[in-house]
Amino acid sequence: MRPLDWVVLAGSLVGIVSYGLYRGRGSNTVNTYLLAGKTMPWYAMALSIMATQTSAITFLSTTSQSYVDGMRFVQFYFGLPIAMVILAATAVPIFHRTNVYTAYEYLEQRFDVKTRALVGGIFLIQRGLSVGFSLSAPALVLTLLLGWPPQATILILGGLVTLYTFFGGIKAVTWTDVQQMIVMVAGLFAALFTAIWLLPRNVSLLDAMSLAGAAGKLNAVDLKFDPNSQFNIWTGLLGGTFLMLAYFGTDQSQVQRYLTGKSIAQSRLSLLFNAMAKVPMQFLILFIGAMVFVFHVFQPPPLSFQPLEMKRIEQRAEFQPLSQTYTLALDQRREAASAYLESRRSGDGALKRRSLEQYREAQRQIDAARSSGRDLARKAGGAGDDDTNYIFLSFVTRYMPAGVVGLVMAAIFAAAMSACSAEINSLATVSVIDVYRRHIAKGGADRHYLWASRIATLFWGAYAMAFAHYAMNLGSLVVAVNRIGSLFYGPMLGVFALAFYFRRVRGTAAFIGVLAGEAVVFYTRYNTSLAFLWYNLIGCSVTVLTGLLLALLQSRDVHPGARFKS
Amino acid sequence: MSDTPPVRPVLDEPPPFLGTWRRVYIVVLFYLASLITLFYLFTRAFSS
Repeated sequence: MRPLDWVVLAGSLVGIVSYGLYRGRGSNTVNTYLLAGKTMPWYAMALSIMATQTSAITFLSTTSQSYVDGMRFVQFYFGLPIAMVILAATAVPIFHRTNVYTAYEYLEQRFDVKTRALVGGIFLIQRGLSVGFSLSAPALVLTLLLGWPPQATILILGGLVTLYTFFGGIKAVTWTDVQQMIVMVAGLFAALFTAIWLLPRNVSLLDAMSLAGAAGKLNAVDLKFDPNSQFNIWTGLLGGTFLMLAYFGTDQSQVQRYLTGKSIAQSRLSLLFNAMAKVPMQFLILFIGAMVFVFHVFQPPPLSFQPLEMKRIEQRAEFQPLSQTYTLALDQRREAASAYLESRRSGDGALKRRSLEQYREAQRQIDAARSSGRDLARKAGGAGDDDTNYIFLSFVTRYMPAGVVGLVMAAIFAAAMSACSAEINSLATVSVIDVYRRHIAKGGADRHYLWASRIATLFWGAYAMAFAHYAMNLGSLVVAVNRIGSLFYGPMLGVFALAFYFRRVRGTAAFIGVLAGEAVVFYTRYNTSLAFLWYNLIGCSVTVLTGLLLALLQSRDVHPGARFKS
Repeated sequence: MSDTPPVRPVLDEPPPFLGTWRRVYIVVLFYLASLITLFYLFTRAFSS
C-alpha cells in the first residue's frame, strides 16, 4: 500500500463512519433505534439489503471464483428475483400490518410463544456462530497478503461498526450501508477497468473473452441436471429460490431492513430493486475474475496465491521438478493463447483447432500442478486449502496502480462492516425484543428498552470481535461453520410458510414441524452427498408437511368426521 | 413501552409505474428469464 492508497482507505472509512453517526442522530426511542421510526425510503433499504448480503469474504472469494471455476456461480442467484417477488407479495404486507419489531414476534401473534422462542433461538445460535467470521475472514486474508496484524484489523473494523451501530441504531446501519455499497460498486468497476487495461496491448476485450471462454471460465449457464452439483440452473432456480426466501424472509438481519420502510410500497420496491440488480452485479463480479484469469495467461501467476502455503511448498524437495513442470505449462499456455488469437484474426481453421487443443491441454497441466502444490503443502504441515480467497487481493496488491488499491481495500472493509453491522444490529434486536422484553423484564419504560438495546449492541459487538479472534485459529473449520447456516434456513422458512398460507395450523403443529424439519436436514447433511442448497427445500417441505399432517390429526380429534381444509 | 411499535397507518400504495403490483412482478420475472437467456447465449458464444 502506497501513501495515496492509505489516504483513500482512511478517507473512505472516516467518511462512512462520520456519515453514519450524523444520520443516526435522534435515535432516542426503541422505535427509532430499531426500526428508524419506519421512515426509510426504498433506495436506502434496497442498497442496505444488497450491502448486508455482501460480506468481505464474498467480495474476495466471488471475484476469484471464476478464475478457478468459471462463472457458473452466478446461477446461485437465479432464485433471488423469484424469492423477492414472493416476499414482496406476501411477507412484506403481513410484517407491516402486524406492526412487529422482529419476524419472530409475528410467530407468537400467529402461533404461540414456544414457536417464537424456538425460531428466535435458532436465529441467535445461527447468527451468533457466523457473526465473528465477517470480521475474521478478511482479517486473515489481509494478514497473510499485507502482513497486517489480525487483531488490529479486527479491532478497527469491529470497533468502528460497534461505534456507529451503538449510537445510531438501524438508521446509522442503513445509511452507512448505502455509503458502503457505493464504495463497493466503485471498487468493483475500478477493478474491472484496471484488469482490462492491464491486458497486453494486442489483446482486445473480445480476445480476452475468447481466451476466458476457451478455458471454460465464461460458463454462466449449465443446463445439465445434477442434484449433487452446487451450481447449475436447476439448483439455482429451485434450491436458490428456497435459500433466498429463507434468507430474506426469515433472517432478522434482512427482515429488519425492510421493516423500516415508510410504507408497504417502499419496502416492496426495495426488494424488487434487489431482484433486478443482484444477478447482473454478481455477473460483473465474476466477470472481473475471468479477466484476472486472462491477465495471468500473459503474466505468470504463482503456484499458490496463499503466501504461507507457497512458502511451505518451496521448502519441499519435490518443489523444483513441480515448479519446472508448472513454468513449462504456463509458457505453453501463453504461446497457445497467442496462436489461438492469431488464428481468429487470420481465419486459419486448422491453426485455431490445434492451438485451442494445446491451450486447453496446458490449462489441464496447470490445474494438475496447482493440485500437486496443495498436496505438497499438506505434506509440509499446511492445510492444503484452496487459495481461491487470495487470488483477487493478490492481483490488486501486486498489479493495481496507487489509489485504486486503496479504493478496493476500502470496498473490502466496507463489505466487512456492512455485513457485521447488520448482524450486530439484528442480534441485539432479537435479544431485547424476543428474549429480554418477552421473558425477563416485561412492562418496562421505553427508555429502559432503548438502553437495553444499546447494551445488547455493545455486547454483540464485543462478542463479534472476541469470536473473530478465536475464529482466526479455526482454519478450515471456518468453511464448515459457515455452512451451518444452511442447516437451519429450511425449517425456518417452513414455519413462516405455515404461518402465512395455512390458517388451520396452530402453534404445537408448527413447533413440531420445525423440529421434524431440523431432524431430516441434519440426517441429510450427515448421510448423503446432496448439495447444500437442497437442504432448504427439504427442511421447508418436511416442516410444512409435518405441520399440515398434525393440524389434520388435531382437526379430526376436535371435530371427528370433519374434513380438513387449508 | 407498548409491546409493538407505535401504530402508524399502514400505507399500501400502488406502484409508481405499471399501475398494479401484479404487472411489476410479471416484468421482474420476465426480466429474469431474459437475463438467463442472455447468459445462456453468452456461454454458448464463448465456449468455442
